[in-house]
Amino acid sequence: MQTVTELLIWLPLTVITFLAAEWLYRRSNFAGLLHPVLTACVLLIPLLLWLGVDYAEYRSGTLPLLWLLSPATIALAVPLADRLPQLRKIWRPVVISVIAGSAVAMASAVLIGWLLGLDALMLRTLVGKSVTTPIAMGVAEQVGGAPELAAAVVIVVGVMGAGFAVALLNALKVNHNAARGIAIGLAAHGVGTARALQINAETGAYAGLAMGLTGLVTAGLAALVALFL
Amino acid sequence: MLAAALLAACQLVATALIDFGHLPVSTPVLGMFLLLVLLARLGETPNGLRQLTSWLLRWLTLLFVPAGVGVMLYLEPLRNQWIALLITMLLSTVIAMAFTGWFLQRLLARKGDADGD
Repeated sequence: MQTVTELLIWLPLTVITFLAAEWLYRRSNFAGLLHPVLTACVLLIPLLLWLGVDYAEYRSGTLPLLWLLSPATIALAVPLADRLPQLRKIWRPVVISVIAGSAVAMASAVLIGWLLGLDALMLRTLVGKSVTTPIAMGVAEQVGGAPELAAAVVIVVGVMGAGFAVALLNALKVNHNAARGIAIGLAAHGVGTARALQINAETGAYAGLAMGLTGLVTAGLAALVALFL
Repeated sequence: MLAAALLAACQLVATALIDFGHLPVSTPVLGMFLLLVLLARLGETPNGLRQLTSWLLRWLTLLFVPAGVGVMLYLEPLRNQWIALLITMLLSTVIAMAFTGWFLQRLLARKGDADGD
């Protein structure tokens, strides 16, 4: 009975908050800091804390959304399959740089975090920080991090990456559309891909391709890492 | 219906493979990989599947909200680590993006020379 009440309250409230946050995001012309997930969390967390509702209760009230996350992640295979033909001409350099780049992203996060004194849970959560949210949550689960924290970390990383991408790549004189798009999609997943699409369609397409490939490669590398943990 | 069954089948097969093989990957990621291999072999995406997945992906961002709210479970460890966490995220993202862009551009330039174009 209690679960029904939770569903009646938290499910619609989450959907409405999200739709309002998404509206705001569109109105702001997709300003990174107004990413709808960030806005929704910033509104919902204080509300829950203020009402004294714990996360387990909120979670059981939004369980249908969590059930859909798994099939929706599997559904990412469709846009990725659409982009495979793009790989045909330059698959070797792209695949090599996605593997190398994913390893650099994972290793640099863990190394810098360790040097700055982050605890083990944070370090394990950071392993998948540059891949798209559903995969990052899976990677955090694989290596013993916190999937909930991974979701927030990933979105903030995307917002940061999308913010400095153009300035950084220009400064490094990376001007090839494929190199720019792959670099943005690898380091800043979906939020970066949206930014790359604003640069031009080709850069955006490569960013989307890199987002998918990086997710697969990172999950594979994390599986190897997990064997040694 | 068929499309939903296909997604469910990918999820089931992935779960079974992980359970029996004790694989250290998550179900959705392996399921996505299985579907990708299937679609690549098929050569095209069936229409029903495309409709269902584009509907699911339209709402994908909403599905992260309950997980994102889960940050409230970690307010205690975040209290004295959030600055270090943000710095780590920023530096590592700069390094990953700069390295990948520079590295791929080099590889492409070399390929261009070899092809003579």
